[in-house]
Amino acid sequence: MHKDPFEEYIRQGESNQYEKAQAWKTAIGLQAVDGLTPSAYLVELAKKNIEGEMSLQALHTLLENYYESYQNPKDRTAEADIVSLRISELLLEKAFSFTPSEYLSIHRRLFTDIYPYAGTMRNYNMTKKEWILDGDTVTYGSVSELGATLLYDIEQEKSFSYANLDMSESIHHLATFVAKLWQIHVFGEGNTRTTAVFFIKYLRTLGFTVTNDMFANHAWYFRNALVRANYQNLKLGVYRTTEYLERFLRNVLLDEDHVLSNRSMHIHNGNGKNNINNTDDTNGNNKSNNNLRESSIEYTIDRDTMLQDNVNKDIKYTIESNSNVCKPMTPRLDEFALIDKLTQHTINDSTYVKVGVGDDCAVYDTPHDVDQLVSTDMMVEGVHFSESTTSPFDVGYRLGAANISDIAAMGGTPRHMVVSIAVPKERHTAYVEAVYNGLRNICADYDVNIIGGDTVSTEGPFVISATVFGDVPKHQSVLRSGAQDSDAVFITNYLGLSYVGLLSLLEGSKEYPVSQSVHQRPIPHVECGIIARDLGATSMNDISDGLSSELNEIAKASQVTIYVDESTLPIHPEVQAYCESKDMSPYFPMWTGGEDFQLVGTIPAEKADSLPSETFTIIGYVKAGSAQVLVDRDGQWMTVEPKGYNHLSKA
Amino acid sequence: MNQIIEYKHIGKSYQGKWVVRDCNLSINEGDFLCIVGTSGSGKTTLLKMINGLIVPDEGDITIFGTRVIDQDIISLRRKIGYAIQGDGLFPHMTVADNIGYVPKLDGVPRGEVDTIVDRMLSLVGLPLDSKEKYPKELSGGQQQRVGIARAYANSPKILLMDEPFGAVDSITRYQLQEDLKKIHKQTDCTIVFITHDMHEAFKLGTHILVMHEGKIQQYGTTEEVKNHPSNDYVKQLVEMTR
Repeated sequence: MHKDPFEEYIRQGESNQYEKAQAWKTAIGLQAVDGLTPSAYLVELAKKNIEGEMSLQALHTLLENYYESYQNPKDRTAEADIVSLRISELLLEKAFSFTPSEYLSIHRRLFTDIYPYAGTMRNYNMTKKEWILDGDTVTYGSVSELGATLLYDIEQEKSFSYANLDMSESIHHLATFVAKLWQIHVFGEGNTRTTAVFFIKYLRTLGFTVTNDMFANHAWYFRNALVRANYQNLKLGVYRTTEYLERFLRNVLLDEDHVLSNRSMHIHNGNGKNNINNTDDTNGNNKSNNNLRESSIEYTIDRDTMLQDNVNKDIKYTIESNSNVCKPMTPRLDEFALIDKLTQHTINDSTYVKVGVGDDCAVYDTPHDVDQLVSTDMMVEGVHFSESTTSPFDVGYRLGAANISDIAAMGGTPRHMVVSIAVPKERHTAYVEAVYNGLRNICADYDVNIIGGDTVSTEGPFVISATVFGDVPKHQSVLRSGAQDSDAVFITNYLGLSYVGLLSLLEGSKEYPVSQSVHQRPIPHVECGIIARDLGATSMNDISDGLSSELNEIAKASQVTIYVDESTLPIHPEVQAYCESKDMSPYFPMWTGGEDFQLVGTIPAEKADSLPSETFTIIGYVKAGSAQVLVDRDGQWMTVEPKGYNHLSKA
Repeated sequence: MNQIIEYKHIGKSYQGKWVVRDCNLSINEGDFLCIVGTSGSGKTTLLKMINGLIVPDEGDITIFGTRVIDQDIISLRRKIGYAIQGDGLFPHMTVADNIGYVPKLDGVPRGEVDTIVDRMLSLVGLPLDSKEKYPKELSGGQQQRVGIARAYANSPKILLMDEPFGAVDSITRYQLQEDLKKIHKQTDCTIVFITHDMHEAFKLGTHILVMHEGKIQQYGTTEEVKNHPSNDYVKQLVEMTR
């Protein structure tokens, strides 16, 4: 066995030597995950660095000279040396942000000039033959979802609270997190090393020092444990398990001394035997398959479901009445305890509420001289949102926003809401609480009371439905059907932000904060709706499916022709910048992007000046004529189809 | 003096007819410019180009050193106060909510909005107890004052006023003019004010722009226009004030 060149510094070195030696040791050890071994020359240079004789910068120069052909070196020793140096550098830096872009940036820094795709996500689907799987592969993240999944995993972890967990529970959660992160396999190569560096730095932010030899001496085990945490083969009775990772992490974080044996993870998949070798579990726990199953990733996420465009609302009124679908809550999701939790702080304006949650019905009074408004919206996981791109808080928030926006589009004031949730049996109560918190938050913002609801468990996907009640002064509801000849057409604020927000989130970009916030937490424009109504708006709609769709609805309901001067549409700087970067017209997301929840409507021309220009923009006018929407494009009037910008035809 | 608004060869036509043509104009920071002209002279068209409500067909207009068409128009509008004839107030909102509308849009915290509202009420000479009133509970002159307070609530660098005192009686108008002079004196705000009344222009403006049939007739300081009218049209307007 080779003598450890860094041992002396670790045992007897000064504190900064100790730190440097650990970083170097980990950096060099991590090369083993790709079967690489750094050169003896690098080890010598590392020792000089530890002793303070040579800076990392000087090492860079020396290495560059040493490996004259720095570009795509064929000799992988060069790769091992250069990447080791860069890992040491990263581990010695204190700066770290727990974000997808940091993850990409670590890959970029480690592999620049080594892989042409350093720092960029792979653009193909991949498999990898694994020794411990007898040549089988883990199912890695689908190429279309890499950014979204990365973002989701990191956001989920960011919002997770370790409070009240004991160390075993915390380690289990950390193992699950790192396993999921690695499973995405964001890059063509270099995933384990990137994940390890990112994870070590993350562990430090949690207060762990991570200074022992585990990553250095057991990098190959670490990789195989990640494989086993993500591999299952039901036919062979193999289930995902974080057991091996947890053993590794207990050694890393708690200085325990579990034997880390790669052989124990090896699966023999062709001979029909019991395929899992548990014999050298030194804890004496000769675990059965069932035990393994229990320790498999508990909170399995169906990340194969991409966010579906919220456009498909046809199903929102389909109510599943099959009694087999809904079952009483399992002990895991204690209905009563949960409801008790969920129904706190739900009254934001008690003026009209006589009885809230807790009786067979809620009882509420209404203001005088109003017409009542009611609207409902439903969101189904996998159809309207995906766990991978929408946090549970935002699921609740967006559902509330969509409901409140429907009241805004009538010129009304939202008052109360009732909510029904069907929760998959295995879903954690924390998820449901977060959804409800999102809903409660937006209700508080708009003084809306949650006055009732139902929570059930289901074998199906997560479903949430809310019904909002509001009112509007008698006979003053602003319908879609009231647009008249010579009216002006208005919109509120900016369009297209939600569209840009969604795409930039999927890409993991941090450059579009306003757009991303609008996408995640859209703002209903109740006040604008009331202003427009009071000033005499003749028709109105909220933009949930895109300007082209909503204007066509008004044109159809009112049987008028709507003319739009595209150049008057206010362009938000983020929409401008994003579209420029994609070589796309900024008007495209403005016409077709849904979920902005801005208002569009018509108002008599003489009143148009009274609309506050800080929020309202006049974008066109109405003429009596056939039901259609026309836009002036290079001096020609083109028809805008409900489907949007891509569907223009000569008028 | 720093230039804050610049028109370069501005033209705008409606249905083939030019309402403004080849306008060149430079307004300095702190000026109180009164644009005078009969209806159809193009004065409102010029004003509305400043906050992008009207986009010129020809030429460029530059605000704060950047072309309007290159600016985030909503954000620009929130930086420019705008008061129109009538009051432009929201009937369902209290006076306080009307005045606080733009600061709230800009994300000013609720407590600070309250302070702004109090300051604005005092600036336009309205009692603090009018805060919770609705516009319909106020007189025409009071409503107009709330309109000014609302336009100025965000302490904009530019205040646009389109015949704001056109619909009030002469006594109220006199008081409102005094209030506006006070605001201009107390702040570094640049005011562009439209009127068809040369008396009003001479009383308020540091500078006068006379428009007729879409053309600039004269642009100069109040003294220059008063003492040296550039043509018969301007001379006629000046004569009427004597």
